[in-house]
Amino acid sequence: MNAQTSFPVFVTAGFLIWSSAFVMLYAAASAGCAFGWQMEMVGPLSLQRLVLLGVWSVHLAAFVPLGLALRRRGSPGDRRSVFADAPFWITGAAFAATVFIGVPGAVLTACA
Amino acid sequence: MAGAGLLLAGCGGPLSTLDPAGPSAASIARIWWVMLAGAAVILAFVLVLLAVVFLSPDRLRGVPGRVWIVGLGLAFPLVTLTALVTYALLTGERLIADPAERDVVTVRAVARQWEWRFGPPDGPLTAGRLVIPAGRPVHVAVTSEDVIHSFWVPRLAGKMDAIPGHVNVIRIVAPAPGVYHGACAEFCGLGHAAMPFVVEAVDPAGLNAAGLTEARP
Ligand SMILES: [Cu+2]
Repeated sequence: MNAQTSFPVFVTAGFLIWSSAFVMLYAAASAGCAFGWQMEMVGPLSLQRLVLLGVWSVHLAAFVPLGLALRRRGSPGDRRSVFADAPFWITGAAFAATVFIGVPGAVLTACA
Repeated sequence: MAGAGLLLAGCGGPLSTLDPAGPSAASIARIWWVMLAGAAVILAFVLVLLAVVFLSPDRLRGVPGRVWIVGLGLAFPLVTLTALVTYALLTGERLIADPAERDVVTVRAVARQWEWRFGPPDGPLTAGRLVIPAGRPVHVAVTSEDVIHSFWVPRLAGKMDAIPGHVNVIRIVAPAPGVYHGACAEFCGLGHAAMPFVVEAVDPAGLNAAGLTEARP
C-alpha cells in the first residue's frame, strides 16, 4: 500500500479502535453489573473493575502498532493538501478520546 | 416582565426539579444552575463577538486563525465540557446507594404497564403510593415486570431505570413529612403518561402501620 491507498485506512483506524472500546466498555459494564462481578474481589480490585481496566488497556495498547505504522508511513508528500496530516491528528484525537472514555470505568462506582 | 413570569411558571409545581426537597435533588438542581450560568456567560461572549464583527469588523482582523480554530474551537469546548462532565459524574457518584449504608430503610418499586406498585422487600405491593419515613435514607429497589420504565420523583432525586429481570437501587431522602409526586420517566407504551404515583413521607413514629421493614443493620 502506498501513502495514497493507505490514507482511508489510517484516517479511520484510530476511531475504529475508539468505537470498539466504547461498545465493549459499555457492554462489559452492563453485563458485569447483571452478573454481580462488582462483588467478586480479585485481590484489591473487583472482577468488574478488572474486566473494564482490561478492555481499556487492550484498546490503548492497540494504538502502539497504529502509531508505529503511521510513523513508518510518513506523510504523503503533497504538503499543500490540508488532508496531508489528517491521519496524525485524527489518530491523536482518537487516542485522547479512548483515554477519556475509560476513566469513568476505572474510578467510578460500577453498579447502581 | 410578563414573558419572564410566564417562563418561570414552568419551574414550579409538584414535579419540578428546580424546587428540590432533598439533598440528592438539590445537587441535581445545582448542576442545572451551574450549566445555566455557564451557558449564559458563553452565549454573552459569543454575542459580544458577533456584535463586534457587525459594528467594527476591523477590530478582529488581527486575531490569527489559530486563536479561533485551536483556541476557541477546540481548547475552549474541550475544557468546558470536561469540567462539566467531571462535575456531573462526581455528583452522580454521591447519589448512588451504598449497599453498606447503615440505618437505612429498604423498599421495592415494581413497574408494569401502566402502574407503579410499592412495598417492603418481601411484603405485598400497593399501587400508586410509596410510604417512607421522613428524615431517613431510603433505598428503593426498582424493577419492572414487562418493559423498561423509569422511577422519578423530581423533588427528591434523579431517575432510575426499572429494567425487567434486574434490580437497580436508588437512594432517596425526604427531609420533611409531606407528599412528593412521581412519574414514569421512560416511555413505556400508550399508558406512559397515566402512571403517576406519590411518595408519602411520614413521621417515623407512624411507620409500623404502613408495614415497612427495617433493613438489617
Ligand atoms: Cu412506564
